[in-house]
Amino acid sequence: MSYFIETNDLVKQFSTKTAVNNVNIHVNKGDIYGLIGRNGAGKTTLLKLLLGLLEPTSGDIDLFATEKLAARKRIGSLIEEPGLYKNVTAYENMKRFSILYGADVNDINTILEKVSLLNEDRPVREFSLGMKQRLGLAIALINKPEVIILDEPINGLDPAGIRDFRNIIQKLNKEGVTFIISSHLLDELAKIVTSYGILSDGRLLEEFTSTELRTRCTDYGKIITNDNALALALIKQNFPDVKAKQSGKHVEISEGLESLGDINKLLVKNNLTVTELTKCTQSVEEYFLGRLGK
Amino acid sequence: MKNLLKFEFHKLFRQKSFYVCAGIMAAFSILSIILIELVVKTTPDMSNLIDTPRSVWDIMLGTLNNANFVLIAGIFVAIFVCDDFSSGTIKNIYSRGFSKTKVFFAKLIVALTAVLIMYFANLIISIIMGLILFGTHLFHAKYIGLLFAQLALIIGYSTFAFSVSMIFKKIGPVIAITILVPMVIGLFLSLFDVALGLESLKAADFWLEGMAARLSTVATLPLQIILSAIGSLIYAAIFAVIGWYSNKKLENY
Ligand SMILES: Nc1ncnc2c1ncn2[C@@H]1O[C@H](COP(=O)(O)OP(=O)(O)O)[C@@H](O)[C@H]1O
Ligand SMILES: [Mg+2]
Repeated sequence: MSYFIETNDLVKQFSTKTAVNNVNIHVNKGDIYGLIGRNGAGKTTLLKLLLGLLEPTSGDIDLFATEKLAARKRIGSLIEEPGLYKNVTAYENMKRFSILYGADVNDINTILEKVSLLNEDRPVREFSLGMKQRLGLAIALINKPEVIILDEPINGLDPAGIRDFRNIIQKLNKEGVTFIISSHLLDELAKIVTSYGILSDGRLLEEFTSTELRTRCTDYGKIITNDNALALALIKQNFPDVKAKQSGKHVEISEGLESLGDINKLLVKNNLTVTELTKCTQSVEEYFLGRLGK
Repeated sequence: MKNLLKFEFHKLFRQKSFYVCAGIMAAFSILSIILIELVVKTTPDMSNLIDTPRSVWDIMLGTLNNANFVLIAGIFVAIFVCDDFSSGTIKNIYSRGFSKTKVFFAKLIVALTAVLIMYFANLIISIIMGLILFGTHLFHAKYIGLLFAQLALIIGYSTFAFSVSMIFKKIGPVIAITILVPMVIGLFLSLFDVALGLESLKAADFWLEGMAARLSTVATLPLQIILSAIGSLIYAAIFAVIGWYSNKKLENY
Protein backbone atom coordinates (compact mmCIF):
# COMPACT_ATOMS: atom_id res chain seq x y z
CA MET A 1 0.00 0.00 0.00
CA SER A 2 1.39 3.35 -0.84
CA TYR A 3 0.60 6.38 1.23
CA PHE A 4 -0.11 9.98 0.30
CA ILE A 5 2.66 11.24 2.54
CA GLU A 6 5.22 9.08 4.28
CA THR A 7 8.66 9.24 5.79
CA ASN A 8 11.25 6.53 5.76
CA ASP A 9 13.61 6.30 8.75
CA LEU A 10 13.69 10.06 8.97
CA VAL A 11 16.36 11.48 11.28
CA LYS A 12 17.13 15.06 12.26
CA GLN A 13 20.14 15.52 14.45
CA PHE A 14 20.90 18.91 15.97
CA SER A 15 24.37 19.34 17.45
CA THR A 16 23.73 17.17 20.50
CA LYS A 17 20.03 16.39 20.25
CA THR A 18 18.32 13.88 17.96
CA ALA A 19 15.04 15.73 17.59
CA VAL A 20 13.57 13.25 15.10
CA ASN A 21 14.77 9.70 15.46
CA ASN A 22 14.02 7.12 12.74
CA VAL A 23 10.47 8.25 12.19
CA ASN A 24 8.14 6.53 9.70
CA ILE A 25 4.80 8.28 9.43
CA HIS A 26 2.05 7.22 7.04
CA VAL A 27 -0.64 9.65 6.01
CA ASN A 28 -3.52 8.70 3.72
CA LYS A 29 -5.24 11.09 1.35
CA GLY A 30 -8.15 12.74 3.13
CA ASP A 31 -6.79 12.08 6.63
CA ILE A 32 -6.71 14.54 9.45
CA TYR A 33 -3.48 13.18 10.84
CA GLY A 34 -2.80 14.22 14.42
CA LEU A 35 0.82 14.29 15.50
CA ILE A 36 0.56 14.04 19.23
CA GLY A 37 3.43 14.61 21.63
CA ARG A 38 4.57 16.63 24.58
CA ASN A 39 6.62 19.82 24.31
CA GLY A 40 10.02 18.96 22.91
CA ALA A 41 8.85 15.64 21.43
CA GLY A 42 9.97 16.73 17.96
CA LYS A 43 6.65 17.69 16.37
CA THR A 44 7.77 21.03 14.95
CA THR A 45 11.03 19.54 13.72
CA LEU A 46 9.22 16.72 11.92
CA LEU A 47 6.78 19.14 10.24
CA LYS A 48 9.64 21.44 9.22
CA LEU A 49 11.37 18.45 7.61
CA LEU A 50 8.22 17.64 5.62
CA LEU A 51 8.08 21.26 4.43
CA GLY A 52 11.75 21.52 3.53
CA LEU A 53 12.39 24.14 6.22
CA LEU A 54 15.00 21.77 7.61
CA GLU A 55 17.14 19.25 5.77
CA PRO A 56 17.02 15.68 7.10
CA THR A 57 20.22 14.26 8.56
CA SER A 58 19.20 10.94 6.99
CA GLY A 59 16.12 9.15 5.70
CA ASP A 60 13.60 10.16 3.05
CA ILE A 61 10.32 11.92 2.68
CA ASP A 62 7.74 10.95 0.09
CA LEU A 63 5.19 13.61 -0.82
CA PHE A 64 2.55 12.04 -3.07
CA ALA A 65 5.27 10.46 -5.19
CA THR A 66 6.06 13.88 -6.65
CA GLU A 67 9.34 15.75 -6.86
CA LYS A 68 9.60 17.52 -3.50
CA LEU A 69 9.75 21.17 -4.59
CA ALA A 70 6.81 20.64 -6.95
CA ALA A 71 4.89 18.76 -4.26
CA ARG A 72 5.42 21.54 -1.73
CA LYS A 73 3.72 24.02 -4.03
CA ARG A 74 0.57 22.05 -3.22
CA ILE A 75 1.08 22.18 0.56
CA GLY A 76 -0.06 25.06 2.73
CA SER A 77 1.35 25.39 6.23
CA LEU A 78 1.34 27.26 9.48
CA ILE A 79 4.39 26.48 11.61
CA GLU A 80 4.86 27.90 15.09
CA GLU A 81 4.05 31.64 15.00
CA PRO A 82 2.49 32.70 11.70
CA GLY A 83 4.91 34.54 9.40
CA LEU A 84 3.26 37.89 8.72
CA TYR A 85 4.30 41.33 7.50
CA LYS A 86 3.40 43.38 10.56
CA ASN A 87 3.22 46.85 9.04
CA VAL A 88 0.65 46.12 6.37
CA THR A 89 -2.95 44.92 6.33
CA ALA A 90 -4.25 41.37 6.16
CA TYR A 91 -5.20 41.99 2.54
CA GLU A 92 -1.70 43.17 1.62
CA ASN A 93 -0.20 40.11 3.33
CA MET A 94 -2.51 37.93 1.29
CA LYS A 95 -1.68 39.84 -1.87
CA ARG A 96 2.06 39.36 -1.44
CA PHE A 97 1.75 35.62 -0.96
CA SER A 98 -0.82 35.29 -3.74
CA ILE A 99 1.72 36.87 -6.09
CA LEU A 100 4.43 34.55 -4.79
CA TYR A 101 2.35 31.38 -5.04
CA GLY A 102 0.96 32.36 -8.43
CA ALA A 103 -2.61 32.45 -7.12
CA ASP A 104 -5.49 34.56 -8.34
CA VAL A 105 -5.68 37.78 -6.28
CA ASN A 106 -9.44 37.76 -6.82
CA ASP A 107 -9.65 34.80 -4.41
CA ILE A 108 -8.18 36.78 -1.52
CA ASN A 109 -11.47 38.10 -0.19
CA THR A 110 -13.11 34.69 -0.35
CA ILE A 111 -10.35 33.27 1.83
CA LEU A 112 -10.36 36.24 4.21
CA GLU A 113 -14.06 35.76 4.65
CA LYS A 114 -13.53 32.11 5.59
CA VAL A 115 -11.31 33.17 8.47
CA SER A 116 -13.50 36.17 9.38
CA LEU A 117 -10.90 38.78 8.49
CA LEU A 118 -12.70 40.44 5.60
CA ASN A 119 -12.69 44.26 5.77
CA GLU A 120 -10.11 44.28 8.54
CA ASP A 121 -8.10 47.37 7.63
CA ARG A 122 -5.70 47.69 10.55
CA PRO A 123 -2.03 46.82 10.16
CA VAL A 124 -1.30 43.29 11.35
CA ARG A 125 0.81 44.50 14.31
CA GLU A 126 -2.46 45.63 15.92
CA PHE A 127 -4.07 42.18 15.54
CA SER A 128 -4.89 39.92 18.47
CA LEU A 129 -3.18 36.55 18.70
CA GLY A 130 -6.29 34.83 17.37
CA MET A 131 -6.50 37.16 14.37
CA LYS A 132 -2.83 36.58 13.54
CA GLN A 133 -3.39 32.84 13.79
CA ARG A 134 -6.38 33.06 11.44
CA LEU A 135 -4.43 35.17 8.97
CA GLY A 136 -1.67 32.56 9.13
CA LEU A 137 -4.27 29.94 8.23
CA ALA A 138 -5.57 32.18 5.43
CA ILE A 139 -2.05 32.33 3.95
CA ALA A 140 -1.85 28.55 4.20
CA LEU A 141 -5.10 28.37 2.20
CA ILE A 142 -3.80 30.44 -0.74
CA ASN A 143 -3.73 28.61 -4.07
CA LYS A 144 -6.04 25.78 -2.95
CA PRO A 145 -3.48 23.44 -1.37
CA GLU A 146 -4.21 19.71 -1.31
CA VAL A 147 -2.44 19.29 2.00
CA ILE A 148 -2.35 21.65 4.96
CA ILE A 149 0.20 21.26 7.73
CA LEU A 150 -0.57 23.01 11.00
CA ASP A 151 1.75 23.14 14.00
CA GLU A 152 -0.18 23.52 17.26
CA PRO A 153 -2.54 25.91 15.50
CA ILE A 154 -4.89 26.57 18.41
CA ASN A 155 -2.26 27.33 21.04
CA GLY A 156 -3.40 30.41 22.89
CA LEU A 157 -6.81 30.67 21.25
CA ASP A 158 -9.97 31.13 23.30
CA PRO A 159 -12.74 28.49 23.17
CA ALA A 160 -14.68 30.36 20.48
CA GLY A 161 -11.52 30.73 18.39
CA ILE A 162 -10.79 27.03 18.78
CA ARG A 163 -14.30 26.12 17.66
CA ASP A 164 -14.00 28.36 14.58
CA PHE A 165 -10.64 26.84 13.72
CA ARG A 166 -12.00 23.33 14.08
CA ASN A 167 -14.98 24.11 11.88
CA ILE A 168 -12.79 25.53 9.12
CA ILE A 169 -10.56 22.47 9.22
CA GLN A 170 -13.49 20.06 9.10
CA LYS A 171 -15.11 21.91 6.24
CA LEU A 172 -11.93 21.87 4.16
CA ASN A 173 -11.36 18.22 5.01
CA LYS A 174 -14.82 17.42 3.62
CA GLU A 175 -13.76 19.21 0.43
CA GLY A 176 -10.86 16.77 0.18
CA VAL A 177 -7.97 18.58 1.87
CA THR A 178 -5.59 16.33 3.81
CA PHE A 179 -4.38 17.72 7.13
CA ILE A 180 -1.39 17.04 9.30
CA ILE A 181 -1.85 18.77 12.64
CA SER A 182 0.45 18.64 15.62
CA SER A 183 -0.86 19.11 19.11
CA HIS A 184 0.23 18.40 22.61
CA LEU A 185 -1.95 15.59 23.60
CA LEU A 186 -5.19 16.75 25.06
CA ASP A 187 -6.17 19.78 23.08
CA GLU A 188 -9.44 20.31 21.37
CA LEU A 189 -8.19 19.33 17.93
CA ALA A 190 -7.63 15.74 18.94
CA LYS A 191 -11.43 15.45 18.63
CA ILE A 192 -11.48 15.79 14.85
CA VAL A 193 -8.39 13.73 14.10
CA THR A 194 -8.88 10.60 11.98
CA SER A 195 -5.38 9.14 12.38
CA TYR A 196 -2.87 9.53 15.15
CA GLY A 197 0.88 9.40 15.32
CA ILE A 198 2.35 9.45 18.79
CA LEU A 199 5.72 11.10 19.10
CA SER A 200 7.83 10.90 22.22
CA ASP A 201 11.40 12.08 22.53
CA GLY A 202 11.89 12.10 18.77
CA ARG A 203 10.48 8.61 18.21
CA LEU A 204 7.17 7.66 16.68
CA LEU A 205 5.78 5.25 19.25
CA GLU A 206 2.81 4.14 17.21
CA GLU A 207 0.18 5.08 14.67
CA PHE A 208 -3.50 4.22 14.72
CA THR A 209 -6.83 5.43 13.42
CA SER A 210 -9.50 7.01 15.59
CA THR A 211 -11.56 3.81 15.25
CA GLU A 212 -8.64 1.72 16.48
CA LEU A 213 -8.16 4.14 19.32
CA ARG A 214 -11.55 3.22 20.75
CA THR A 215 -10.66 -0.45 20.86
CA ARG A 216 -7.33 0.41 22.44
CA CYS A 217 -8.92 2.30 25.27
CA THR A 218 -8.96 -0.94 27.16
CA ASP A 219 -10.98 -2.04 30.10
CA TYR A 220 -9.04 -2.56 33.27
CA GLY A 221 -9.71 -3.69 36.79
CA LYS A 222 -9.09 -1.63 39.88
CA ILE A 223 -8.72 -3.26 43.30
CA ILE A 224 -8.18 -1.55 46.65
CA THR A 225 -7.59 -3.60 49.81
CA ASN A 226 -6.15 -3.02 53.25
CA ASP A 227 -2.88 -4.66 52.06
CA ASN A 228 -2.33 -4.10 48.36
CA ALA A 229 1.14 -5.65 48.36
CA LEU A 230 -0.17 -8.90 49.74
CA ALA A 231 -3.13 -8.78 47.34
CA LEU A 232 -0.79 -8.35 44.39
CA ALA A 233 1.37 -11.25 45.53
CA LEU A 234 -1.65 -13.51 45.95
CA ILE A 235 -3.01 -12.61 42.53
CA LYS A 236 0.32 -13.26 40.82
CA GLN A 237 0.69 -16.56 42.61
CA ASN A 238 -2.80 -17.89 41.87
CA PHE A 239 -3.63 -16.39 38.51
CA PRO A 240 -0.62 -16.69 36.19
CA ASP A 241 -2.68 -15.46 33.20
CA VAL A 242 -3.71 -12.25 34.91
CA LYS A 243 -1.55 -9.16 34.41
CA ALA A 244 -1.52 -7.11 37.58
CA LYS A 245 0.55 -4.26 38.93
CA GLN A 246 0.64 -1.81 41.77
CA SER A 247 -0.58 1.54 40.51
CA GLY A 248 -0.73 4.35 43.04
CA LYS A 249 -3.13 3.40 45.83
CA HIS A 250 -4.63 0.49 43.93
CA VAL A 251 -3.78 -2.71 42.15
CA GLU A 252 -4.48 -2.52 38.46
CA ILE A 253 -5.47 -5.54 36.38
CA SER A 254 -4.79 -5.08 32.67
CA GLU A 255 -5.35 -8.61 31.40
CA GLY A 256 -7.57 -11.42 32.58
CA LEU A 257 -10.49 -9.27 33.66
CA GLU A 258 -12.80 -12.31 33.46
CA SER A 259 -11.13 -13.56 36.65
CA LEU A 260 -12.14 -10.51 38.71
CA GLY A 261 -14.83 -12.49 40.53
CA ASP A 262 -12.45 -15.32 41.44
CA ILE A 263 -9.84 -12.80 42.53
CA ASN A 264 -12.36 -11.26 44.87
CA LYS A 265 -13.07 -14.66 46.43
CA LEU A 266 -9.36 -15.36 46.84
CA LEU A 267 -8.67 -12.05 48.54
CA VAL A 268 -11.60 -12.42 50.93
CA LYS A 269 -10.57 -16.02 51.70
CA ASN A 270 -7.17 -14.63 52.72
CA ASN A 271 -8.77 -12.22 55.16
CA LEU A 272 -8.12 -9.09 53.14
CA THR A 273 -10.64 -6.28 53.34
CA VAL A 274 -11.61 -5.44 49.77
CA THR A 275 -12.81 -1.84 49.79
CA GLU A 276 -13.09 -1.50 46.01
CA LEU A 277 -13.12 -3.87 43.08
CA THR A 278 -14.30 -2.35 39.82
CA LYS A 279 -14.06 -2.75 36.10
CA CYS A 280 -13.21 0.58 34.45
CA THR A 281 -12.90 1.80 30.89
CA GLN A 282 -9.86 3.85 30.05
CA SER A 283 -10.48 7.30 28.61
CA VAL A 284 -8.73 8.58 25.52
CA GLU A 285 -6.75 10.93 27.75
CA GLU A 286 -5.62 8.12 29.97
CA TYR A 287 -4.60 6.13 26.95
CA PHE A 288 -2.39 8.92 25.60
CA LEU A 289 -0.92 9.66 28.99
CA GLY A 290 -0.18 5.97 29.38
CA ARG A 291 1.54 5.81 25.99
CA LEU A 292 3.53 8.99 26.50
CA GLY A 293 4.70 7.90 29.93
CA LYS A 294 5.86 10.09 32.79
CA MET B 1 11.83 32.53 -10.32
CA LYS B 2 9.36 34.85 -12.06
CA ASN B 3 6.95 34.77 -9.12
CA LEU B 4 9.78 35.26 -6.67
CA LEU B 5 10.94 38.36 -8.53
CA LYS B 6 7.41 39.75 -8.80
CA PHE B 7 6.94 39.13 -5.08
CA GLU B 8 10.21 40.80 -4.07
CA PHE B 9 9.63 43.82 -6.30
CA HIS B 10 6.10 44.19 -4.99
CA LYS B 11 7.49 44.24 -1.44
CA LEU B 12 10.27 46.65 -2.38
CA PHE B 13 7.97 49.32 -3.74
CA ARG B 14 5.75 49.05 -0.67
CA GLN B 15 8.65 49.23 1.77
CA LYS B 16 8.92 52.59 3.53
CA SER B 17 12.62 52.15 4.22
CA PHE B 18 13.28 52.21 0.47
CA TYR B 19 11.92 55.74 0.18
CA VAL B 20 13.34 56.84 3.52
CA CYS B 21 16.86 55.70 2.64
CA ALA B 22 16.62 57.27 -0.81
CA GLY B 23 15.43 60.51 0.81
CA ILE B 24 18.26 60.52 3.34
CA MET B 25 20.78 60.00 0.55
CA ALA B 26 19.28 62.86 -1.46
CA ALA B 27 19.38 65.13 1.58
CA PHE B 28 23.02 64.21 2.23
CA SER B 29 23.90 64.83 -1.41
CA ILE B 30 22.29 68.25 -1.55
CA LEU B 31 23.66 69.33 1.82
CA SER B 32 27.22 68.27 1.10
CA ILE B 33 27.24 69.96 -2.31
CA ILE B 34 26.01 73.19 -0.68
CA LEU B 35 28.41 72.80 2.23
CA ILE B 36 31.47 72.38 0.03
CA GLU B 37 30.42 75.40 -2.02
CA LEU B 38 30.02 77.51 1.10
CA VAL B 39 33.40 76.41 2.42
CA VAL B 40 35.11 77.16 -0.88
CA LYS B 41 33.45 80.57 -1.14
CA THR B 42 34.04 81.70 2.45
CA THR B 43 37.49 80.23 3.04
CA PRO B 44 39.65 80.87 -0.02
CA ASP B 45 42.49 78.75 1.44
CA MET B 46 40.27 75.70 1.26
CA SER B 47 40.02 75.94 -2.48
CA ASN B 48 43.51 74.49 -2.69
CA LEU B 49 42.33 71.35 -0.97
CA ILE B 50 39.32 70.84 -3.17
CA ASP B 51 39.79 70.37 -6.88
CA THR B 52 38.86 73.66 -8.53
CA PRO B 53 37.59 74.77 -10.91
CA ARG B 54 34.74 72.32 -10.74
CA SER B 55 31.95 71.39 -13.06
CA VAL B 56 28.76 69.37 -13.01
CA TRP B 57 30.86 66.31 -13.80
CA ASP B 58 32.79 66.53 -10.54
CA ILE B 59 29.59 66.94 -8.63
CA MET B 60 28.27 63.86 -10.40
CA LEU B 61 31.25 61.80 -9.25
CA GLY B 62 30.78 63.10 -5.74
CA THR B 63 27.45 61.28 -5.48
CA LEU B 64 29.20 58.18 -4.20
CA ASN B 65 30.96 59.83 -1.25
CA ASN B 66 28.82 62.87 -0.50
CA ALA B 67 25.74 60.86 0.27
CA ASN B 68 27.54 58.25 2.37
CA PHE B 69 26.00 56.22 -0.35
CA VAL B 70 27.38 52.76 0.35
CA LEU B 71 26.70 53.11 4.05
CA ILE B 72 23.03 53.91 3.59
CA ALA B 73 22.71 51.38 0.77
CA GLY B 74 24.12 48.73 3.12
CA ILE B 75 21.64 49.65 5.83
CA PHE B 76 18.78 49.54 3.32
CA VAL B 77 19.83 46.11 2.04
CA ALA B 78 20.01 44.85 5.62
CA ILE B 79 16.51 46.16 6.42
CA PHE B 80 15.08 44.78 3.19
CA VAL B 81 16.59 41.31 3.51
CA CYS B 82 16.24 40.78 7.26
CA ASP B 83 12.54 41.62 7.19
CA ASP B 84 11.53 38.16 5.96
CA PHE B 85 13.64 36.53 8.65
CA SER B 86 12.52 38.66 11.59
CA SER B 87 8.85 38.43 10.66
CA GLY B 88 9.04 34.69 10.02
CA THR B 89 7.64 35.14 6.52
CA ILE B 90 10.66 33.28 5.11
CA LYS B 91 8.86 30.09 6.26
CA ASN B 92 5.97 30.95 3.93
CA ILE B 93 8.48 31.19 1.08
CA TYR B 94 10.70 28.15 1.61
CA SER B 95 7.81 25.89 2.62
CA ARG B 96 6.06 26.36 -0.74
CA GLY B 97 8.73 24.73 -2.79
CA PHE B 98 11.02 27.66 -3.56
CA SER B 99 14.62 26.54 -3.40
CA LYS B 100 17.07 28.44 -1.24
CA THR B 101 19.15 29.16 -4.31
CA LYS B 102 16.29 30.78 -6.20
CA VAL B 103 15.20 32.76 -3.14
CA PHE B 104 18.78 33.94 -2.66
CA PHE B 105 19.22 35.16 -6.21
CA ALA B 106 15.76 36.72 -6.49
CA LYS B 107 16.45 38.71 -3.34
CA LEU B 108 19.92 39.63 -4.56
CA ILE B 109 18.62 40.86 -7.91
CA VAL B 110 15.92 42.97 -6.28
CA ALA B 111 18.22 44.36 -3.56
CA LEU B 112 20.82 45.36 -6.16
CA THR B 113 18.17 46.88 -8.39
CA ALA B 114 16.87 48.89 -5.44
CA VAL B 115 20.33 50.19 -4.65
CA LEU B 116 20.97 51.09 -8.28
CA ILE B 117 17.63 52.92 -8.45
CA MET B 118 18.70 54.90 -5.39
CA TYR B 119 22.05 55.61 -6.99
CA PHE B 120 20.52 56.88 -10.23
CA ALA B 121 18.04 59.02 -8.32
CA ASN B 122 20.95 60.58 -6.46
CA LEU B 123 22.94 60.97 -9.62
CA ILE B 124 20.12 62.93 -11.19
CA ILE B 125 19.85 65.18 -8.13
CA SER B 126 23.62 65.78 -8.17
CA ILE B 127 23.58 66.55 -11.87
CA ILE B 128 20.72 69.02 -11.48
CA MET B 129 22.53 70.70 -8.58
CA GLY B 130 25.74 70.74 -10.57
CA LEU B 131 24.05 72.28 -13.58
CA ILE B 132 22.58 75.01 -11.41
CA LEU B 133 25.83 75.79 -9.62
CA PHE B 134 28.36 75.15 -12.38
CA GLY B 135 28.43 74.54 -16.09
CA THR B 136 29.00 71.57 -18.33
CA HIS B 137 32.59 72.62 -19.09
CA LEU B 138 35.68 70.46 -18.50
CA PHE B 139 34.09 67.24 -19.72
CA HIS B 140 36.45 64.31 -20.02
CA ALA B 141 35.72 60.79 -21.29
CA LYS B 142 37.13 59.49 -18.02
CA TYR B 143 33.96 60.61 -16.27
CA ILE B 144 31.97 57.96 -18.09
CA GLY B 145 34.47 55.28 -17.07
CA LEU B 146 34.40 56.48 -13.49
CA LEU B 147 30.63 56.32 -13.46
CA PHE B 148 30.63 52.70 -14.61
CA ALA B 149 33.33 51.86 -12.08
CA GLN B 150 31.19 53.45 -9.36
CA LEU B 151 28.31 51.24 -10.40
CA ALA B 152 30.56 48.19 -10.11
CA LEU B 153 31.73 49.32 -6.70
CA ILE B 154 28.17 49.80 -5.47
CA ILE B 155 27.33 46.30 -6.66
CA GLY B 156 30.36 44.94 -4.79
CA TYR B 157 29.47 46.75 -1.58
CA SER B 158 25.78 45.93 -1.72
CA THR B 159 26.48 42.27 -2.43
CA PHE B 160 28.64 42.25 0.70
CA ALA B 161 25.78 43.75 2.75
CA PHE B 162 23.37 41.32 1.10
CA SER B 163 25.37 38.22 1.87
CA VAL B 164 25.98 39.31 5.46
CA SER B 165 22.20 39.74 5.77
CA MET B 166 21.47 36.30 4.31
CA ILE B 167 24.00 34.69 6.65
CA PHE B 168 23.27 36.44 9.96
CA LYS B 169 19.61 37.32 9.35
CA LYS B 170 19.23 39.61 12.38
CA ILE B 171 19.08 43.30 11.58
CA GLY B 172 21.27 44.51 14.50
CA PRO B 173 24.32 42.32 13.95
CA VAL B 174 23.95 42.64 10.18
CA ILE B 175 24.09 46.45 10.22
CA ALA B 176 27.00 46.41 12.66
CA ILE B 177 28.97 43.97 10.49
CA THR B 178 28.08 45.78 7.26
CA ILE B 179 29.33 49.10 8.58
CA LEU B 180 32.26 48.03 10.74
CA VAL B 181 33.89 45.14 8.92
CA PRO B 182 34.75 47.03 5.69
CA MET B 183 36.13 49.87 7.82
CA VAL B 184 38.21 47.58 9.98
CA ILE B 185 39.57 45.74 6.93
CA GLY B 186 40.46 49.09 5.34
CA LEU B 187 42.20 50.16 8.52
CA PHE B 188 44.22 46.97 8.81
CA LEU B 189 45.27 47.13 5.18
CA SER B 190 46.42 50.74 5.67
CA LEU B 191 48.43 49.74 8.73
CA PHE B 192 49.90 46.92 6.71
CA ASP B 193 50.87 49.37 3.96
CA VAL B 194 52.50 51.70 6.46
CA ALA B 195 54.33 48.88 8.19
CA LEU B 196 55.77 47.61 4.91
CA GLY B 197 56.42 51.13 3.66
CA LEU B 198 54.39 50.48 0.51
CA GLU B 199 53.86 53.56 -1.62
CA SER B 200 52.95 52.88 -5.21
CA LEU B 201 51.22 49.53 -4.86
CA LYS B 202 49.12 49.74 -1.70
CA ALA B 203 47.08 46.86 -0.34
CA ALA B 204 44.42 49.30 0.89
CA ASP B 205 43.81 50.36 -2.70
CA PHE B 206 42.51 46.90 -3.48
CA TRP B 207 39.83 47.01 -0.83
CA LEU B 208 36.37 48.46 -1.44
CA GLU B 209 37.01 51.52 0.72
CA GLY B 210 40.17 52.47 -1.13
CA MET B 211 38.43 52.02 -4.45
CA ALA B 212 35.51 54.19 -3.36
CA ALA B 213 37.87 57.04 -2.51
CA ARG B 214 39.63 56.79 -5.84
CA LEU B 215 36.48 56.59 -7.90
CA SER B 216 35.29 59.95 -6.58
CA THR B 217 37.96 61.99 -8.30
CA VAL B 218 38.83 62.51 -11.91
CA ALA B 219 42.53 62.51 -11.05
CA THR B 220 42.44 58.70 -10.96
CA LEU B 221 44.35 56.99 -13.76
CA PRO B 222 42.40 55.03 -16.39
CA LEU B 223 44.13 51.77 -15.45
CA GLN B 224 43.15 52.26 -11.81
CA ILE B 225 39.58 52.90 -12.86
CA ILE B 226 39.46 49.68 -14.84
CA LEU B 227 41.13 47.69 -12.05
CA SER B 228 38.71 49.09 -9.48
CA ALA B 229 35.73 48.17 -11.63
CA ILE B 230 36.96 44.64 -12.23
CA GLY B 231 38.01 44.28 -8.59
CA SER B 232 34.58 45.36 -7.39
CA LEU B 233 32.83 42.84 -9.60
CA ILE B 234 35.17 40.10 -8.41
CA TYR B 235 34.35 41.03 -4.81
CA ALA B 236 30.64 40.94 -5.70
CA ALA B 237 31.04 37.45 -7.14
CA ILE B 238 33.02 36.20 -4.13
CA PHE B 239 30.53 37.63 -1.61
CA ALA B 240 27.61 36.22 -3.59
CA VAL B 241 29.13 32.74 -3.60
CA ILE B 242 29.95 32.87 0.13
CA GLY B 243 26.45 34.14 0.93
CA TRP B 244 24.72 31.64 -1.32
CA TYR B 245 26.68 28.68 0.04
CA SER B 246 26.35 29.67 3.71
CA ASN B 247 22.65 30.38 3.37
CA LYS B 248 22.16 26.99 1.74
CA LYS B 249 23.90 25.21 4.61
CA LEU B 250 22.56 27.25 7.52
CA GLU B 251 19.18 26.57 9.12
CA ASN B 252 19.14 29.61 11.41
CA TYR B 253 15.68 30.96 10.68
N1 LIG C 1 17.45 24.46 15.83
C1 LIG C 1 17.61 23.63 16.86
N2 LIG C 1 18.84 23.40 17.39
C2 LIG C 1 18.99 22.57 18.41
N3 LIG C 1 18.02 21.89 19.01
C3 LIG C 1 16.77 22.05 18.53
C4 LIG C 1 16.50 22.94 17.44
N4 LIG C 1 15.17 22.90 17.19
C5 LIG C 1 14.64 22.05 18.08
N5 LIG C 1 15.59 21.53 18.90
C6 LIG C 1 15.39 20.54 19.97
O1 LIG C 1 14.76 19.42 19.41
C7 LIG C 1 13.76 18.92 20.28
C8 LIG C 1 12.42 18.88 19.57
O2 LIG C 1 11.97 20.22 19.38
P1 LIG C 1 10.60 20.54 18.65
O3 LIG C 1 10.57 19.85 17.35
O4 LIG C 1 10.47 22.00 18.64
O5 LIG C 1 9.55 19.90 19.63
P2 LIG C 1 7.97 20.16 19.76
O6 LIG C 1 7.54 20.96 18.58
O7 LIG C 1 7.37 18.79 19.80
O8 LIG C 1 7.76 20.88 21.04
C9 LIG C 1 13.79 19.81 21.51
O9 LIG C 1 14.58 19.18 22.48
C10 LIG C 1 14.44 21.06 21.03
O10 LIG C 1 15.12 21.68 22.07
MG1 LIG D 1 6.63 22.82 18.54
